[in-house]
Amino acid sequence: MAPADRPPPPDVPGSPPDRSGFFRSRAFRASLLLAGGLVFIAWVYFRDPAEPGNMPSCPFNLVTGLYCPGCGSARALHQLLHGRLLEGFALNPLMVLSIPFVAYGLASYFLKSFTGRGLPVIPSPWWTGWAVLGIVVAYWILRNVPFFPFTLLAP
Amino acid sequence: MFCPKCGQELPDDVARCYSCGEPVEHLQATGPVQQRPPLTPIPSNLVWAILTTLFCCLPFGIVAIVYAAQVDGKTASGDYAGAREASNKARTWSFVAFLCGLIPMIIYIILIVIGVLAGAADHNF
Repeated sequence: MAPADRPPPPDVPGSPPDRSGFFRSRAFRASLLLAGGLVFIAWVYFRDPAEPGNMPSCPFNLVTGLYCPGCGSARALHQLLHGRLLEGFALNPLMVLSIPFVAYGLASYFLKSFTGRGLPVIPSPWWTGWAVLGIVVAYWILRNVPFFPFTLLAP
Repeated sequence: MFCPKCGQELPDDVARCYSCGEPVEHLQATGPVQQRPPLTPIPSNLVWAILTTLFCCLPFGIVAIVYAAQVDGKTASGDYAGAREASNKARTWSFVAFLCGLIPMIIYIILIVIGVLAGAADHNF
């Protein structure tokens, strides 16, 4: 490539501004994520996942017939968005209970991506992640037990 | 080794992080006793792991949670390099789980929208 074909280095007066930096920035990635999330929420609001055809089925459920920890979460979100808290909770209690924590973490991420500063980290013991793993796996197993009261955990 | 400021993975012989410019000491050994504490807390990425497990793709979401769970324990025991690696893996697997959930969803939405449009052309509303 001959020297005349290269764009001048950024600190030379009159050079074109380097716009590629924005597309690699954290704010851009966060914007994409936020846009995608809003599209998903809008879709779930208008189209009830409980009705066939509105949402692809869970692959785990298709193959095994069992419930994964996420089964019912989209339907639950639809109920919650329409103000029906109890119905939403009944469809996937774990997902509904996790909303405050996930929302706090997401809010902190978006604030940090757009303003540079996130929310304060909630102090939690070092084994918190392991406890979450245990809860998710236990929930996964128990909601597939076909008798009361475990059927309450199933969608 | 990893940059103590931004977590960028670096070869052992550089003097400065090529991502953020922070000067890096050469470590004699990479055991937990010798590691410098990070300048900012290492994120566990547990939120991303939970979110993708509950909405997207099951096996990869669980993998992400397993790695996220390791971060705080390793940080507490001084294994900052291990914690950084677990943190990065938690984020990577969350992203893989996200893609596994997102791509079928997008294809589905496109097919439905195309289907609705194609259907509307045939009917008089």
